[in-house]
Amino acid sequence: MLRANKLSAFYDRTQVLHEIDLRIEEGEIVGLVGANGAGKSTTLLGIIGINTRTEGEIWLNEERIDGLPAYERVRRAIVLIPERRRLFPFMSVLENLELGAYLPGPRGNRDASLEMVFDLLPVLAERRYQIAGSLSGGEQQMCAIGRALMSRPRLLMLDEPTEGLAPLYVERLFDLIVRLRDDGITILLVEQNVEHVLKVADRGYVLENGRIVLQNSGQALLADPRLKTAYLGL
Amino acid sequence: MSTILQLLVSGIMLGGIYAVMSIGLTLIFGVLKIVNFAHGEFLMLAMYAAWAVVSATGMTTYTAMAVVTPLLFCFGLLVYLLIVRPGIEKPHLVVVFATMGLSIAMQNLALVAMTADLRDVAPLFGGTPIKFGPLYFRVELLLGFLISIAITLALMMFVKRTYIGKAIRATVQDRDAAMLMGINVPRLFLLTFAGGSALVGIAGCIMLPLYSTFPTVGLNFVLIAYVVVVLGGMGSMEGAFLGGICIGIVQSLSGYYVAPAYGQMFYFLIFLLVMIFRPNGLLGQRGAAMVGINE
Ligand SMILES: Nc1ncnc2c1ncn2[C@@H]1O[C@H](COP(=O)(O)OP(=O)(O)OP(=O)(O)O)[C@@H](O)[C@H]1O
Ligand SMILES: [Mg+2]
Repeated sequence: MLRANKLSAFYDRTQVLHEIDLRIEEGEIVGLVGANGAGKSTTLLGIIGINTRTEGEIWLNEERIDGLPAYERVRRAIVLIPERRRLFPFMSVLENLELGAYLPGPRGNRDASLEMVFDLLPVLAERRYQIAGSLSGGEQQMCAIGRALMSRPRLLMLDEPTEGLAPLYVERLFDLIVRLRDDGITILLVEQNVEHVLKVADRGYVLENGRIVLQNSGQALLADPRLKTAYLGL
Repeated sequence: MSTILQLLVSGIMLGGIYAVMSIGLTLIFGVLKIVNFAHGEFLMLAMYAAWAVVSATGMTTYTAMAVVTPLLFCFGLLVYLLIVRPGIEKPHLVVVFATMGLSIAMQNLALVAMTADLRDVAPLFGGTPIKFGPLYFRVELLLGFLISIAITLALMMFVKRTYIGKAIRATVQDRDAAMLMGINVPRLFLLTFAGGSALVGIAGCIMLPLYSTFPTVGLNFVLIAYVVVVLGGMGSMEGAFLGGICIGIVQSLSGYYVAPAYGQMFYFLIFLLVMIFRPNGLLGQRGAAMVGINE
Protein backbone atom coordinates (compact mmCIF):
# COMPACT_ATOMS: atom_id res chain seq x y z
CA MET A 1 0.00 0.00 0.00
CA LEU A 2 2.79 2.40 0.95
CA ARG A 3 6.38 2.13 -0.14
CA ALA A 4 9.30 4.39 0.66
CA ASN A 5 12.30 3.98 -1.61
CA LYS A 6 15.62 5.35 -0.46
CA LEU A 7 13.87 7.87 1.74
CA SER A 8 16.20 10.41 3.32
CA ALA A 9 15.13 13.20 5.61
CA PHE A 10 16.80 16.43 6.63
CA TYR A 11 16.40 19.23 9.15
CA ASP A 12 18.07 22.13 7.39
CA ARG A 13 21.34 20.54 6.32
CA THR A 14 21.42 17.79 8.93
CA GLN A 15 20.55 14.43 7.50
CA VAL A 16 18.53 12.35 9.92
CA LEU A 17 17.30 9.49 7.73
CA HIS A 18 19.64 7.73 5.34
CA GLU A 19 17.96 6.12 2.34
CA ILE A 20 15.58 3.88 4.17
CA ASP A 21 13.27 1.45 2.38
CA LEU A 22 9.89 0.72 3.90
CA ARG A 23 7.00 -1.33 2.69
CA ILE A 24 3.57 -1.48 4.27
CA GLU A 25 0.95 -3.82 2.88
CA GLU A 26 -2.79 -3.34 3.08
CA GLY A 27 -4.22 -4.60 6.36
CA GLU A 28 -0.91 -4.94 8.21
CA ILE A 29 0.28 -3.61 11.49
CA VAL A 30 3.86 -2.56 10.92
CA GLY A 31 5.99 -1.66 13.92
CA LEU A 32 8.84 0.81 13.72
CA VAL A 33 11.15 0.71 16.71
CA GLY A 34 14.51 2.11 17.67
CA ALA A 35 16.37 4.03 20.32
CA ASN A 36 15.67 7.68 21.14
CA GLY A 37 16.75 9.92 18.32
CA ALA A 38 16.92 7.07 15.81
CA GLY A 39 14.59 8.91 13.44
CA LYS A 40 11.26 7.19 14.02
CA SER A 41 9.20 10.36 14.32
CA THR A 42 11.08 11.86 11.42
CA THR A 43 10.10 8.89 9.28
CA LEU A 44 6.42 9.49 10.00
CA LEU A 45 6.76 13.22 9.42
CA GLY A 46 8.49 12.52 6.14
CA ILE A 47 5.70 10.22 5.02
CA ILE A 48 3.00 12.77 5.86
CA GLY A 49 5.11 15.67 4.58
CA ILE A 50 5.51 18.18 7.38
CA ASN A 51 8.41 19.74 9.25
CA THR A 52 11.14 17.81 7.53
CA ARG A 53 12.52 17.87 4.00
CA THR A 54 12.79 14.52 2.28
CA GLU A 55 14.54 13.01 -0.69
CA GLY A 56 13.70 9.70 -2.29
CA GLU A 57 10.36 8.31 -3.33
CA ILE A 58 7.16 7.65 -1.47
CA TRP A 59 4.52 5.66 -3.28
CA LEU A 60 0.94 5.23 -2.19
CA ASN A 61 -0.32 2.31 -4.24
CA GLU A 62 0.38 3.43 -7.81
CA GLU A 63 0.78 7.10 -7.05
CA ARG A 64 3.97 8.91 -6.15
CA ILE A 65 3.16 11.28 -3.29
CA ASP A 66 6.48 12.67 -2.07
CA GLY A 67 5.97 15.89 -4.03
CA LEU A 68 2.55 16.56 -2.53
CA PRO A 69 1.93 18.95 0.37
CA ALA A 70 0.78 17.37 3.62
CA TYR A 71 -2.89 18.26 3.18
CA GLU A 72 -2.94 16.45 -0.15
CA ARG A 73 -1.53 13.34 1.49
CA VAL A 74 -4.17 13.54 4.22
CA ARG A 75 -6.75 13.78 1.46
CA ARG A 76 -5.45 10.40 0.30
CA ALA A 77 -6.39 9.01 3.72
CA ILE A 78 -2.92 8.88 5.25
CA VAL A 79 -3.32 10.12 8.80
CA LEU A 80 -0.74 10.76 11.48
CA ILE A 81 -1.30 10.92 15.21
CA PRO A 82 1.81 12.87 16.07
CA GLU A 83 4.06 12.66 19.07
CA ARG A 84 2.54 14.41 22.10
CA ARG A 85 -0.91 14.26 20.50
CA ARG A 86 -1.12 17.85 19.34
CA LEU A 87 -4.79 18.39 20.07
CA PHE A 88 -6.23 21.86 19.60
CA PRO A 89 -5.94 22.74 23.26
CA PHE A 90 -8.51 25.54 23.46
CA MET A 91 -11.23 23.69 21.61
CA SER A 92 -13.72 21.21 22.97
CA VAL A 93 -13.37 17.49 22.37
CA LEU A 94 -16.25 17.70 19.94
CA GLU A 95 -14.60 20.46 17.92
CA ASN A 96 -11.36 18.52 17.82
CA LEU A 97 -13.27 15.56 16.45
CA GLU A 98 -15.06 17.74 13.93
CA LEU A 99 -11.75 19.01 12.67
CA GLY A 100 -10.71 15.41 12.13
CA ALA A 101 -13.50 15.33 9.59
CA TYR A 102 -12.45 18.59 7.96
CA LEU A 103 -11.94 17.33 4.42
CA PRO A 104 -15.00 17.14 2.17
CA GLY A 105 -15.05 13.33 2.02
CA PRO A 106 -14.96 12.65 5.78
CA ARG A 107 -17.18 15.70 6.37
CA GLY A 108 -19.96 13.98 4.49
CA ASN A 109 -19.74 11.04 6.91
CA ARG A 110 -19.29 13.17 9.96
CA ASP A 111 -22.29 12.09 11.97
CA ALA A 112 -21.74 8.42 11.31
CA SER A 113 -18.05 8.75 12.15
CA LEU A 114 -18.88 10.56 15.34
CA GLU A 115 -21.19 7.78 16.39
CA MET A 116 -18.53 5.20 15.55
CA VAL A 117 -15.88 7.07 17.54
CA PHE A 118 -18.12 7.58 20.57
CA ASP A 119 -18.96 3.91 20.41
CA LEU A 120 -15.32 2.91 20.32
CA LEU A 121 -14.14 5.47 22.87
CA PRO A 122 -17.07 6.17 25.18
CA VAL A 123 -14.99 8.46 27.34
CA LEU A 124 -15.04 10.98 24.49
CA ALA A 125 -18.81 10.99 24.43
CA GLU A 126 -18.87 11.79 28.15
CA ARG A 127 -16.35 14.56 27.75
CA ARG A 128 -17.44 15.98 24.45
CA TYR A 129 -17.90 19.55 25.71
CA GLN A 130 -14.74 19.62 27.79
CA ILE A 131 -11.84 21.74 26.55
CA ALA A 132 -9.25 19.38 25.12
CA GLY A 133 -6.36 20.99 26.97
CA SER A 134 -7.97 20.06 30.28
CA LEU A 135 -8.30 16.34 29.55
CA SER A 136 -6.07 13.89 31.37
CA GLY A 137 -3.14 12.48 29.42
CA GLY A 138 -4.93 9.25 28.66
CA GLU A 139 -8.10 11.02 27.63
CA GLN A 140 -6.08 13.27 25.36
CA GLN A 141 -4.64 10.21 23.70
CA MET A 142 -8.14 8.83 23.15
CA CYS A 143 -9.17 12.18 21.74
CA ALA A 144 -6.21 12.18 19.35
CA ILE A 145 -7.13 8.71 18.17
CA GLY A 146 -10.76 9.68 17.83
CA ARG A 147 -9.81 12.76 15.86
CA ALA A 148 -7.72 10.64 13.51
CA LEU A 149 -10.50 8.11 13.03
CA MET A 150 -12.92 10.88 12.13
CA SER A 151 -10.97 11.32 8.92
CA ARG A 152 -11.55 7.70 7.96
CA PRO A 153 -7.88 6.80 7.48
CA ARG A 154 -6.72 4.00 5.25
CA LEU A 155 -3.20 4.22 6.62
CA LEU A 156 -3.02 5.30 10.25
CA MET A 157 0.37 6.20 11.66
CA LEU A 158 0.72 6.46 15.42
CA ASP A 159 3.74 7.99 17.10
CA GLU A 160 4.18 6.64 20.62
CA PRO A 161 0.48 6.42 21.42
CA THR A 162 1.10 4.78 24.79
CA GLU A 163 3.28 7.62 26.02
CA GLY A 164 2.19 8.47 29.54
CA LEU A 165 -0.55 5.85 29.74
CA ALA A 166 -1.14 3.57 32.71
CA PRO A 167 -0.47 -0.14 32.00
CA LEU A 168 -4.16 -0.95 31.91
CA TYR A 169 -4.71 1.67 29.22
CA VAL A 170 -1.70 0.45 27.28
CA GLU A 171 -3.35 -2.97 27.06
CA ARG A 172 -6.59 -1.43 25.92
CA LEU A 173 -4.87 0.74 23.39
CA PHE A 174 -3.12 -2.22 21.80
CA ASP A 175 -6.43 -4.08 21.71
CA LEU A 176 -7.93 -1.08 20.00
CA ILE A 177 -5.15 -0.95 17.44
CA VAL A 178 -5.61 -4.61 16.59
CA ARG A 179 -9.32 -4.01 16.27
CA LEU A 180 -8.78 -1.12 13.90
CA ARG A 181 -6.55 -3.30 11.78
CA ASP A 182 -9.24 -5.97 11.74
CA ASP A 183 -11.65 -3.29 10.55
CA GLY A 184 -9.40 -2.76 7.56
CA ILE A 185 -7.18 0.14 8.62
CA THR A 186 -3.50 -0.34 7.84
CA ILE A 187 -1.29 0.68 10.72
CA LEU A 188 2.23 1.99 11.09
CA LEU A 189 3.10 2.07 14.75
CA VAL A 190 6.07 3.75 16.40
CA GLU A 191 6.68 2.72 19.99
CA GLN A 192 9.25 2.73 22.73
CA ASN A 193 7.55 -0.30 24.14
CA VAL A 194 9.33 -2.76 21.84
CA GLU A 195 8.07 -6.05 23.20
CA HIS A 196 4.53 -4.90 23.08
CA VAL A 197 4.61 -3.54 19.55
CA LEU A 198 6.39 -6.49 18.09
CA LYS A 199 3.87 -8.81 19.69
CA VAL A 200 0.98 -7.21 17.82
CA ALA A 201 2.88 -6.21 14.70
CA ASP A 202 2.76 -8.35 11.60
CA ARG A 203 6.15 -7.02 10.64
CA GLY A 204 8.65 -4.73 12.22
CA TYR A 205 11.55 -2.48 11.29
CA VAL A 206 14.38 -1.52 13.58
CA LEU A 207 15.86 1.88 13.03
CA GLU A 208 19.30 2.86 14.24
CA ASN A 209 20.85 6.24 13.58
CA GLY A 210 18.56 6.86 10.64
CA ARG A 211 19.18 3.51 8.98
CA ILE A 212 17.10 0.36 8.96
CA VAL A 213 19.25 -2.31 10.54
CA LEU A 214 16.74 -5.12 10.95
CA GLN A 215 13.42 -6.12 9.50
CA ASN A 216 11.37 -9.22 9.94
CA SER A 217 8.07 -10.47 11.25
CA GLY A 218 7.30 -9.17 14.71
CA GLN A 219 7.81 -12.51 16.40
CA ALA A 220 11.09 -13.19 14.63
CA LEU A 221 12.43 -9.78 15.58
CA LEU A 222 11.56 -10.36 19.20
CA ALA A 223 13.59 -13.54 19.16
CA ASP A 224 16.52 -11.90 17.39
CA PRO A 225 19.44 -11.11 19.71
CA ARG A 226 20.52 -8.31 17.40
CA LEU A 227 17.41 -6.38 18.44
CA LYS A 228 18.89 -5.63 21.83
CA THR A 229 22.17 -4.66 20.26
CA ALA A 230 20.46 -2.19 17.96
CA TYR A 231 18.53 -0.81 20.84
CA LEU A 232 21.31 -0.35 23.24
CA GLY A 233 23.74 0.70 20.57
CA LEU A 234 26.28 -1.85 21.78
CA MET B 1 -23.24 63.21 35.77
CA SER B 2 -24.53 63.51 32.24
CA THR B 3 -21.11 64.74 31.16
CA ILE B 4 -19.46 61.59 32.36
CA LEU B 5 -22.19 59.48 30.81
CA GLN B 6 -21.77 61.33 27.56
CA LEU B 7 -18.01 60.79 27.70
CA LEU B 8 -18.35 57.10 28.50
CA VAL B 9 -20.82 56.47 25.72
CA SER B 10 -18.77 58.40 23.18
CA GLY B 11 -15.70 56.53 24.36
CA ILE B 12 -17.38 53.19 23.86
CA MET B 13 -18.46 54.18 20.38
CA LEU B 14 -15.01 55.39 19.48
CA GLY B 15 -13.66 52.16 20.92
CA GLY B 16 -15.88 50.09 18.67
CA ILE B 17 -14.34 51.86 15.71
CA TYR B 18 -10.85 51.24 17.04
CA ALA B 19 -11.81 47.60 17.39
CA VAL B 20 -12.80 47.25 13.75
CA MET B 21 -9.60 48.96 12.74
CA SER B 22 -7.61 46.45 14.80
CA ILE B 23 -9.48 43.23 14.24
CA GLY B 24 -7.86 42.51 10.89
CA LEU B 25 -4.45 42.94 12.45
CA THR B 26 -5.23 40.53 15.26
CA LEU B 27 -6.71 38.00 12.86
CA ILE B 28 -3.64 38.09 10.66
CA PHE B 29 -1.35 37.85 13.63
CA GLY B 30 -3.26 34.96 15.14
CA VAL B 31 -3.20 32.84 12.01
CA LEU B 32 0.05 33.79 10.29
CA LYS B 33 2.03 34.82 13.38
CA ILE B 34 3.27 37.87 11.56
CA VAL B 35 2.70 41.54 12.20
CA ASN B 36 1.82 43.64 9.20
CA PHE B 37 3.74 46.87 9.70
CA ALA B 38 1.92 48.42 6.76
CA HIS B 39 -1.44 48.03 8.52
CA GLY B 40 -1.73 51.80 8.97
CA GLU B 41 -1.09 52.37 5.28
CA PHE B 42 -3.73 49.81 4.36
CA LEU B 43 -6.08 52.01 6.38
CA MET B 44 -4.79 55.10 4.58
CA LEU B 45 -5.40 53.40 1.24
CA ALA B 46 -8.90 52.42 2.33
CA MET B 47 -9.69 55.99 3.39
CA TYR B 48 -8.41 57.43 0.12
CA ALA B 49 -10.32 54.80 -1.81
CA ALA B 50 -13.48 55.68 0.09
CA TRP B 51 -12.84 59.35 -0.53
CA ALA B 52 -12.33 58.72 -4.25
CA VAL B 53 -15.51 56.71 -4.55
CA VAL B 54 -17.49 59.33 -2.64
CA SER B 55 -16.05 62.19 -4.67
CA ALA B 56 -16.60 60.44 -7.98
CA THR B 57 -20.11 59.13 -7.40
CA GLY B 58 -21.54 61.20 -4.58
CA MET B 59 -22.53 58.12 -2.58
CA THR B 60 -21.95 57.99 1.15
CA THR B 61 -18.87 56.28 2.54
CA TYR B 62 -21.16 53.57 3.89
CA THR B 63 -22.32 52.58 0.45
CA ALA B 64 -18.77 53.03 -0.81
CA MET B 65 -17.93 50.09 1.42
CA ALA B 66 -19.29 47.82 -1.27
CA VAL B 67 -16.41 48.93 -3.48
CA VAL B 68 -13.65 49.60 -0.96
CA THR B 69 -13.92 46.30 0.92
CA PRO B 70 -13.39 44.06 -2.13
CA LEU B 71 -10.69 46.45 -3.30
CA LEU B 72 -8.74 46.03 -0.07
CA PHE B 73 -9.33 42.29 -0.23
CA CYS B 74 -7.64 42.22 -3.64
CA PHE B 75 -4.90 44.52 -2.44
CA GLY B 76 -4.32 42.17 0.48
CA LEU B 77 -4.11 39.21 -1.90
CA LEU B 78 -1.53 41.01 -3.97
CA VAL B 79 0.58 42.14 -1.03
CA TYR B 80 0.47 38.67 0.43
CA LEU B 81 1.58 36.99 -2.78
CA LEU B 82 4.25 39.51 -3.71
CA ILE B 83 5.65 40.66 -0.38
CA VAL B 84 4.63 38.50 2.55
CA ARG B 85 4.67 34.96 1.19
CA PRO B 86 8.26 35.02 -0.05
CA GLY B 87 9.36 35.84 3.49
CA ILE B 88 7.00 33.77 5.55
CA GLU B 89 9.26 30.76 6.10
CA LYS B 90 12.28 33.00 6.69
CA PRO B 91 13.30 34.54 10.02
CA HIS B 92 10.70 36.90 11.43
CA LEU B 93 12.58 40.07 10.71
CA VAL B 94 12.22 39.47 6.98
CA VAL B 95 8.47 40.04 7.04
CA VAL B 96 8.89 42.86 9.54
CA PHE B 97 11.22 44.76 7.23
CA ALA B 98 9.34 43.84 4.08
CA THR B 99 6.08 45.26 5.43
CA MET B 100 7.86 48.26 6.92
CA GLY B 101 9.34 48.95 3.51
CA LEU B 102 5.88 48.64 2.01
CA SER B 103 4.55 51.09 4.58
CA ILE B 104 7.13 53.73 3.68
CA ALA B 105 6.65 53.16 -0.03
CA MET B 106 2.88 53.54 0.29
CA GLN B 107 3.18 56.75 2.30
CA ASN B 108 5.43 58.27 -0.32
CA LEU B 109 3.37 57.06 -3.25
CA ALA B 110 0.34 58.62 -1.60
CA LEU B 111 2.26 61.85 -1.15
CA VAL B 112 3.17 61.89 -4.83
CA ALA B 113 -0.26 60.92 -6.06
CA MET B 114 -2.48 62.82 -3.64
CA THR B 115 -0.19 65.57 -2.21
CA ALA B 116 -0.21 66.25 1.51
CA ASP B 117 -3.64 67.94 1.43
CA LEU B 118 -6.29 66.74 3.82
CA ARG B 119 -9.19 65.04 2.10
CA ASP B 120 -12.54 64.66 3.76
CA VAL B 121 -16.19 64.14 2.97
CA ALA B 122 -19.17 66.30 3.83
CA PRO B 123 -20.90 65.31 7.09
CA LEU B 124 -24.23 63.50 6.93
CA PHE B 125 -27.34 65.62 7.58
CA GLY B 126 -25.20 68.76 7.58
CA GLY B 127 -23.47 67.62 10.75
CA THR B 128 -26.51 67.80 13.03
CA PRO B 129 -25.96 65.44 15.98
CA ILE B 130 -28.61 62.97 17.09
CA LYS B 131 -30.07 63.39 20.52
CA PHE B 132 -30.87 60.52 22.90
CA GLY B 133 -32.26 61.96 26.14
CA PRO B 134 -29.44 64.03 27.54
CA LEU B 135 -26.88 62.54 25.14
CA TYR B 136 -25.72 63.83 21.78
CA PHE B 137 -23.90 61.85 19.11
CA ARG B 138 -22.48 62.49 15.74
CA VAL B 139 -24.42 60.40 13.29
CA GLU B 140 -21.19 59.07 11.81
CA LEU B 141 -19.94 57.92 15.19
CA LEU B 142 -23.16 56.09 15.93
CA LEU B 143 -23.27 54.50 12.48
CA GLY B 144 -19.62 53.53 12.72
CA PHE B 145 -20.21 51.96 16.10
CA LEU B 146 -23.23 49.98 14.93
CA ILE B 147 -21.35 48.69 11.95
CA SER B 148 -18.43 47.76 14.20
CA ILE B 149 -20.67 45.73 16.45
CA ALA B 150 -22.28 44.00 13.51
CA ILE B 151 -18.91 43.16 11.95
CA THR B 152 -17.44 41.87 15.19
CA LEU B 153 -20.46 39.70 15.93
CA ALA B 154 -20.59 38.36 12.40
CA LEU B 155 -16.92 37.55 12.49
CA MET B 156 -17.18 35.77 15.81
CA MET B 157 -20.09 33.70 14.56
CA PHE B 158 -18.14 32.90 11.43
CA VAL B 159 -15.13 31.74 13.38
CA LYS B 160 -17.15 29.75 15.91
CA ARG B 161 -19.62 28.09 13.61
CA THR B 162 -18.32 27.55 10.12
CA TYR B 163 -15.82 24.92 9.09
CA ILE B 164 -13.49 27.56 7.66
CA GLY B 165 -13.74 29.43 10.94
CA LYS B 166 -12.84 26.29 12.81
CA ALA B 167 -9.92 25.75 10.46
CA ILE B 168 -8.80 29.29 11.27
CA ARG B 169 -8.96 28.67 15.00
CA ALA B 170 -7.21 25.33 14.60
CA THR B 171 -4.40 26.98 12.67
CA VAL B 172 -4.09 29.65 15.34
CA GLN B 173 -3.73 26.98 18.02
CA ASP B 174 -1.44 24.53 16.25
CA ARG B 175 -0.39 25.09 12.69
CA ASP B 176 1.18 21.66 12.18
CA ALA B 177 -1.75 19.82 13.68
CA ALA B 178 -4.02 21.84 11.38
CA MET B 179 -2.00 20.63 8.44
CA LEU B 180 -2.43 17.07 9.69
CA MET B 181 -6.21 17.56 9.55
CA GLY B 182 -5.89 18.18 5.82
CA ILE B 183 -6.37 21.93 6.18
CA ASN B 184 -4.79 23.74 3.27
CA VAL B 185 -2.80 26.03 5.51
CA PRO B 186 -1.05 28.04 2.77
CA ARG B 187 -4.38 28.91 1.21
CA LEU B 188 -5.83 29.76 4.61
CA PHE B 189 -2.93 32.18 5.12
CA LEU B 190 -3.72 33.87 1.84
CA LEU B 191 -7.44 34.13 2.61
CA THR B 192 -6.80 35.39 6.13
CA PHE B 193 -4.41 38.07 4.99
CA ALA B 194 -6.82 39.20 2.30
CA GLY B 195 -9.78 38.97 4.66
CA GLY B 196 -7.96 40.94 7.33
CA SER B 197 -7.20 43.58 4.72
CA ALA B 198 -10.86 43.68 3.68
CA LEU B 199 -11.72 44.46 7.31
CA VAL B 200 -9.36 47.42 7.10
CA GLY B 201 -11.39 48.47 4.05
CA ILE B 202 -14.51 48.56 6.20
CA ALA B 203 -12.67 50.47 8.91
CA GLY B 204 -11.47 53.05 6.39
CA CYS B 205 -15.04 53.70 5.21
CA ILE B 206 -16.26 54.13 8.76
CA MET B 207 -13.38 56.39 9.71
CA LEU B 208 -13.25 58.71 6.73
CA PRO B 209 -16.29 60.75 7.81
CA LEU B 210 -14.82 61.10 11.31
CA TYR B 211 -11.27 61.99 10.34
CA SER B 212 -9.81 63.41 7.18
CA THR B 213 -7.26 61.42 5.27
CA PHE B 214 -3.69 62.31 4.27
CA PRO B 215 -0.62 60.28 3.35
CA THR B 216 0.53 59.59 6.90
CA VAL B 217 -2.90 59.22 8.46
CA GLY B 218 -2.10 55.56 9.14
CA LEU B 219 0.61 56.48 11.61
CA ASN B 220 -1.95 58.16 13.84
CA PHE B 221 -4.01 55.05 14.09
CA VAL B 222 -1.66 52.15 13.72
CA LEU B 223 -0.19 52.72 17.15
CA ILE B 224 -3.65 52.52 18.64
CA ALA B 225 -4.27 49.36 16.65
CA TYR B 226 -1.13 47.72 18.02
CA VAL B 227 -2.05 48.68 21.57
CA VAL B 228 -5.57 47.35 21.08
CA VAL B 229 -4.31 44.07 19.67
CA VAL B 230 -1.76 43.46 22.38
CA LEU B 231 -4.13 44.64 25.08
CA GLY B 232 -6.83 42.23 23.96
CA GLY B 233 -4.43 39.31 23.68
CA MET B 234 -2.74 38.94 20.35
CA GLY B 235 -4.91 36.91 18.03
CA SER B 236 -8.09 37.23 20.09
CA MET B 237 -10.98 38.94 18.33
CA GLU B 238 -13.14 39.35 21.40
CA GLY B 239 -10.04 40.72 23.07
CA ALA B 240 -9.52 43.25 20.30
CA PHE B 241 -13.08 44.43 20.74
CA LEU B 242 -12.67 44.81 24.48
CA GLY B 243 -9.26 46.42 24.02
CA GLY B 244 -10.71 48.89 21.53
CA ILE B 245 -13.47 49.88 23.93
CA CYS B 246 -10.94 50.37 26.75
CA ILE B 247 -8.79 52.65 24.67
CA GLY B 248 -11.84 54.55 23.42
CA ILE B 249 -13.05 55.23 26.95
CA VAL B 250 -9.61 56.21 28.20
CA GLN B 251 -9.17 58.58 25.31
CA SER B 252 -12.57 60.12 25.73
CA LEU B 253 -12.23 60.64 29.51
CA SER B 254 -8.66 61.83 29.53
CA GLY B 255 -9.31 64.11 26.57
CA TYR B 256 -11.97 65.93 28.58
CA TYR B 257 -10.61 65.84 32.10
CA VAL B 258 -6.92 66.23 31.41
CA ALA B 259 -6.07 67.31 27.91
CA PRO B 260 -6.51 65.65 24.52
CA ALA B 261 -2.76 65.64 24.01
CA TYR B 262 -2.25 63.38 27.03
CA GLY B 263 -4.62 60.71 25.78
CA GLN B 264 -1.77 58.62 24.43
CA MET B 265 0.04 58.76 27.73
CA PHE B 266 -2.99 57.35 29.49
CA TYR B 267 -3.64 54.47 27.22
CA PHE B 268 -0.02 53.51 27.20
CA LEU B 269 -0.19 53.58 30.98
CA ILE B 270 -3.15 51.20 30.90
CA PHE B 271 -1.26 49.15 28.40
CA LEU B 272 1.71 48.87 30.75
CA LEU B 273 -0.50 47.88 33.65
CA VAL B 274 -2.23 45.18 31.65
CA MET B 275 1.10 43.88 30.44
CA ILE B 276 2.36 43.70 33.99
CA PHE B 277 -0.66 41.97 35.47
CA ARG B 278 -1.99 40.04 32.49
CA PRO B 279 0.94 39.58 30.16
CA ASN B 280 -1.13 37.61 27.65
CA GLY B 281 -3.61 40.44 27.25
CA LEU B 282 -7.14 40.73 28.56
CA LEU B 283 -8.52 37.68 26.78
CA GLY B 284 -5.28 36.22 25.53
CA GLN B 285 -4.62 32.53 25.64
CA ARG B 286 -1.51 31.66 27.50
CA GLY B 287 1.37 31.47 25.10
CA ALA B 288 -0.78 32.34 22.09
CA ALA B 289 1.58 35.13 21.20
CA MET B 290 4.43 32.70 21.01
CA VAL B 291 5.33 31.56 17.60
CA GLY B 292 4.66 27.88 17.07
CA ILE B 293 2.29 27.42 19.95
CA ASN B 294 2.67 24.09 21.80
CA GLU B 295 6.24 23.52 20.72
N1 LIG C 1 12.91 19.92 14.22
C1 LIG C 1 14.14 19.40 14.28
N2 LIG C 1 15.22 20.13 13.97
C2 LIG C 1 16.45 19.60 14.03
N3 LIG C 1 16.72 18.33 14.38
C3 LIG C 1 15.69 17.54 14.69
C4 LIG C 1 14.34 18.03 14.66
N4 LIG C 1 13.53 17.04 15.03
C5 LIG C 1 14.31 15.98 15.28
N5 LIG C 1 15.61 16.28 15.07
C6 LIG C 1 16.75 15.36 15.24
O1 LIG C 1 16.57 14.25 14.38
C7 LIG C 1 16.95 13.05 15.00
C8 LIG C 1 15.82 12.07 14.95
O2 LIG C 1 14.75 12.56 15.69
P1 LIG C 1 13.35 11.83 15.82
O3 LIG C 1 12.43 12.73 16.54
O4 LIG C 1 12.93 11.35 14.49
O5 LIG C 1 13.74 10.59 16.74
P2 LIG C 1 12.82 9.48 17.36
O6 LIG C 1 13.34 8.19 16.87
O7 LIG C 1 11.40 9.77 17.13
O8 LIG C 1 13.18 9.63 18.90
P3 LIG C 1 12.23 9.47 20.19
O9 LIG C 1 12.13 8.02 20.47
O10 LIG C 1 13.01 10.17 21.26
O11 LIG C 1 10.94 10.12 19.89
C9 LIG C 1 17.37 13.41 16.41
O12 LIG C 1 18.77 13.45 16.45
C10 LIG C 1 16.81 14.77 16.63
O13 LIG C 1 17.63 15.55 17.46
MG1 LIG D 1 9.88 10.38 18.31
